[in-house]
Amino acid sequence: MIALVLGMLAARRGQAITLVLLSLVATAAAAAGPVYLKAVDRTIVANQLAAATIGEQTLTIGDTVERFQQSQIASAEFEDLAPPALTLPGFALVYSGEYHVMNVAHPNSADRLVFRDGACEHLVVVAGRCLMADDEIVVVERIAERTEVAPGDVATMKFAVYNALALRWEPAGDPVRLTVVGVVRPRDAGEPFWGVHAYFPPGYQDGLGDVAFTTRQTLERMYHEEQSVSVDAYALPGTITAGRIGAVRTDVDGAIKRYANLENQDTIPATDIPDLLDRIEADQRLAGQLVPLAALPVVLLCWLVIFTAVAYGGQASSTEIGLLALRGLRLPTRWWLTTGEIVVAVLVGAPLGYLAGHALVPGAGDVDAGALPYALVAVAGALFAGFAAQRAQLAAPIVDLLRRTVGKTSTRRVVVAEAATVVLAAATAVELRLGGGLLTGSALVVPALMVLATALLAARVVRPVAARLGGFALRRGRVGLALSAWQVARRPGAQRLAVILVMAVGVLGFAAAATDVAAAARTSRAEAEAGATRVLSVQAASRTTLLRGVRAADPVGEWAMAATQIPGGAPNEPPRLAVDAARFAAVAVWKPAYGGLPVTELGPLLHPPAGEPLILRGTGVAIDATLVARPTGQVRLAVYVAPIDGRSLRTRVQLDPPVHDGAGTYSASTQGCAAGCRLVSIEVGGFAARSGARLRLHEVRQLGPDTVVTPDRWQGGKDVRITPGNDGLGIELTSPQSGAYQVYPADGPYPLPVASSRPLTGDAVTGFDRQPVPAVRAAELAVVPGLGRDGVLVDLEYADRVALDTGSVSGAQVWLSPTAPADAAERLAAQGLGVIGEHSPATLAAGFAAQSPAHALRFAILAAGLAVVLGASGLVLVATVDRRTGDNDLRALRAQGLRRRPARRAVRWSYLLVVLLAAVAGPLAAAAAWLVVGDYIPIFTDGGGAAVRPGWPRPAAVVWPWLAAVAVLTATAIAVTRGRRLR
Amino acid sequence: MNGLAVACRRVVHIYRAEAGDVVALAGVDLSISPGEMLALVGPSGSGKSTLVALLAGLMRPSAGRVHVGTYDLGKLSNAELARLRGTEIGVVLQGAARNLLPYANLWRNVWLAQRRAARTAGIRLDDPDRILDLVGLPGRGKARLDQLSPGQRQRAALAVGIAAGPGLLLVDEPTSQLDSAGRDEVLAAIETVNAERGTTVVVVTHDADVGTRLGRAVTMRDGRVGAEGRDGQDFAVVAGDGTIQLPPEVLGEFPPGTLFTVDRADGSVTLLAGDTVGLPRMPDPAPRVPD
Repeated sequence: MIALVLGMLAARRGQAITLVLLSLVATAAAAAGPVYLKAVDRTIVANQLAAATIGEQTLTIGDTVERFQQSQIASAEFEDLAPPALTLPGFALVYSGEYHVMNVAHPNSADRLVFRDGACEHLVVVAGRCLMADDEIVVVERIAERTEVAPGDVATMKFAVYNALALRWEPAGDPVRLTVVGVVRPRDAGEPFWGVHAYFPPGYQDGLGDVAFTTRQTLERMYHEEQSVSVDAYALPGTITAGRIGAVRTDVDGAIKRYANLENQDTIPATDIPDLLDRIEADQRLAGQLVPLAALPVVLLCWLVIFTAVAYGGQASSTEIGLLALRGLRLPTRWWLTTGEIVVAVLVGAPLGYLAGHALVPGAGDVDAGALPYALVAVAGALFAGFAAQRAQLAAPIVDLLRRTVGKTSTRRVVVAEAATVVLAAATAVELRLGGGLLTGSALVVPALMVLATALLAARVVRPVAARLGGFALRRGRVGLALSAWQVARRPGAQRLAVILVMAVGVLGFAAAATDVAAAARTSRAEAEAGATRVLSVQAASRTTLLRGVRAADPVGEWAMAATQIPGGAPNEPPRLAVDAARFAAVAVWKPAYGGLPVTELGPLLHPPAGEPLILRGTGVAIDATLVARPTGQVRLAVYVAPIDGRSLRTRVQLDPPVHDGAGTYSASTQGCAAGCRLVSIEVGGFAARSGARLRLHEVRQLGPDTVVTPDRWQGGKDVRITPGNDGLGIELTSPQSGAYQVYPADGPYPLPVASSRPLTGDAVTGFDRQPVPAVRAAELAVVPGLGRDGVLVDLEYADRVALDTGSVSGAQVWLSPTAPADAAERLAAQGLGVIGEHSPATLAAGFAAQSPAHALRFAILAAGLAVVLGASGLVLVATVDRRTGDNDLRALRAQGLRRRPARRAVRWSYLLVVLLAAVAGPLAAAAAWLVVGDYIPIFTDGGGAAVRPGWPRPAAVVWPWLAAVAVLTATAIAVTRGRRLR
Repeated sequence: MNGLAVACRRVVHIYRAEAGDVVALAGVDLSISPGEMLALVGPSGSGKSTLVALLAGLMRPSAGRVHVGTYDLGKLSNAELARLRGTEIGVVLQGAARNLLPYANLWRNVWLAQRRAARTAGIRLDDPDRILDLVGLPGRGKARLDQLSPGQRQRAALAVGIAAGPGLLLVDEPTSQLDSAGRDEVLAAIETVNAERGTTVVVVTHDADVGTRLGRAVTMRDGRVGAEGRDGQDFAVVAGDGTIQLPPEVLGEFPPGTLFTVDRADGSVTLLAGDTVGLPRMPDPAPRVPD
């Protein structure tokens, strides 16, 4: 029997080779999916790790240990306890301690004296050498420049304490002489070894200082009143990998729990590793959804082509199958002889396809056994398709086989199957739309089913249309076209081929549409979230420094704008972005779809004219006030002041004495305001500061020199009622809760005008001080530049004026317009705004393109290409069978006088007509699938959306692939008709 | 194996077609003795191929009985019919190429045709080479279909038909498209098979000379057995329902509807033509028909 099967294969080489190819493609598509997924997983992890913050790669326990006091954990106990609790496989532990010191020769600044375990291995020595003994230090280059020290110099150091009132560092304790042995720089300031301690900021900050490294003993022996200690566990390379996400999460959770169970500790390990792992897993999950979405249509198409190929070939071999039955051979023998070709061809193609599936995936690495189950499913499906196609032949009556009339009895079954497919496609489409569009489970097959259903309907139409075309052509004397049209109308193989080709073109069209829409969505979101052509991340001492620095670098306001996000926020509150609104129109990227107003109107809305800030320049401040009523308890007054140069942080200064009944004067020293401080607010606080408390504020005076600075207008904070009067400002507290209440000079609009994508909750937004600020929605936006589809835009200056925090800023940005000068970064650095990063719409879009949905769509294009190859293979196979059966009908007509040219045209056009149908119906099939599924294809891992998501692809993005597919199929249709003998 | 007897009693077969039912066999009565050779002749559409298909168990009669040997084919299951075809009934299809697998040599084709019988107990099979010898193709076991002449192909088809040693051999148009030499070779092979094995042979043919050579020719017309030729003599056959088919040349003189009176005298039966219903009266009387 084997010899017979091999003989069949040899006799029908073309068909056998095509079956091998089909099996290869099916297995390759099925195997490529999981292989691609694994490659994508590795890429996802690599990309996420590259973009991860240090906090997302480290786990830190920190504490401040006070010298000479029994802290909850003394430093030695801390070092002993923490490391075992923090032991994580694949993580290295680093112990460090630091405090601020001052070089007595340079008393105007303080720097950080740091011990970090193993630091020398991560430092590059610029001059001198690294640490080798106690009482040695190595300094960073900025310290060496600033204090003019060099290797070999001896520096006398003292512990430094920050005087918040005086806004300066002051020395304390006994001096220590330390030898500078080297000037160093970090090998990589961003490597996880350095943890989240910001040892190497891009610019000098007065409050933070630069670092000098020393030994542990030196740090412990030197006088210090407190020391910040920490233990960092950071992930070593190869720890966070695609296959270890779950294990790393378990280890990190376990370490946190172990530490939480320790006695006598109240610190919590800080880490953002779970955020990183969440992003990775979300990316992986999406990829796991989307890659099968692309692979399934190709595998289904493979099975369909195999079914068609075997059924069509089986019809041509029906006499042979009838002959085997005629000889009385038993069913198993007939089955083996009938299907042996299929089994051998599929089993030959399968391992080749398995290897090809790996070869299709760049960076696939070694052969992956994980892809084997999928490949086996593809093989099993291919075999089943072949067996199902042969079933009709095996079950048919012998006389029908011998007369080659098999198939008529199965027509009804085919119609039922097609109708069931169309109904199933419709049902799954409805389920998907009603279910909110989650592409999981059975919903993954919806695109394939929609394309298949459309292909089946189109193929049903082809018969009557082709029959009419045949009659029409014959009446016009076009015999060749007429014969080809009738061939298409009457041969079942032509109809099945039509389904295959329509599906191939449809799958390609869908993939092209998805890819283009996704690219446009990524660009749209990138533009919206970047906000400007270039966005520089800068280091700024405060929000004031940021604003002043940008305005100094670009006085006119043509090319630079300060911006920063406001941290914190209530649950479900959208993100808030504070910008220098007056420059928004000149710098920000704006599209009409973002909002219903011209961008030039936004600035005046967010930054209306307001009063000038109240500036104090003396040595103190005094307030004359009369307490009119207080329920019980004590009322205290305080002022918030913010240095106008921004180099120091804003401070709360309590006035003395406590407020007493009747009139009084309450004052405090503000020594750090000699250069000027803005009066942020006056605070009325204390146990009696609640409902029923009333006082009258008569006068605000700056002391030294004494100057009355009472503002003309005031505005009350939350739960404060302001009543101007002849003898001063009436202040009444309306909240039943005792606490601290603010009264502001009217140097900004109140409530704060905002532009937002949705209505405000409670008519307030969370401000820089993480407190609600009364706000009013001055403009509606569909997209907030810098944030995306959901957010709030406020003016940075006015939001800063009402904030009572220290004024520090994290995430400071400078947006640049396209007209920014080439030396923009240098100009900003000259104003104290060191550039530490940069992004643009292009970089953001590239980041989105590195997420798993983009990878999956790339796979979809690959799979769609395979689909076109399958279509061409199906065409080749049908032509091979036709060639074998000898085109008997055309030969008979030739014998009766049909000329050669019309006969050749009949052969050629019978395939070209099917290709033409695919060219027309394929895009319709793609459009049908897109209508149902297009809105739900995930494009971003974080679930975010495009600012403006196009509903349909650009025409060019789908026309070119369509042209390519049609060209391939047309060339195949012409090639397979060459050399056909019609005599 | 000895030849099998064949008996058909009032066999009727109707094809269901979209345009309407077609009566292919309208009551066939036929008896064939074991080891007899018989030619089944008649025009196209007379029912010859249908009768052969029924004898091969490929179809079941719409009415009547078909017996091959001791088997009533109408009562056998499909599996039993398949077993019969693999062991006791050999079929040679019209067109030699349709009987052979083109990608296997002759030896393999004969071997394949023996597979069913090889697994049946009590059957001794000849070696395929012996079979090929029998039909006049000695030493051609390794030849393929495309290496044979038309006559050789037909004999190869014959070899496949007799490979399992059947008691009944049904051959459809073995000599069409052969020249006289090829025809003689094929007929000689058939005669050899019959002589050496005693196989009952039924040959469907348009060639009257084949009938003469085989010794008995049964003519079918309009789905019935109309006449027989034996040893050079032609006979009309009385069917089971008493009808007789007049020879075509006689039928030309007495069209359908002609009334006859039957006169029996002196051991012979005379048909006297009367009026033709709706037709002109024929002037000449009907010839005397002997007993």
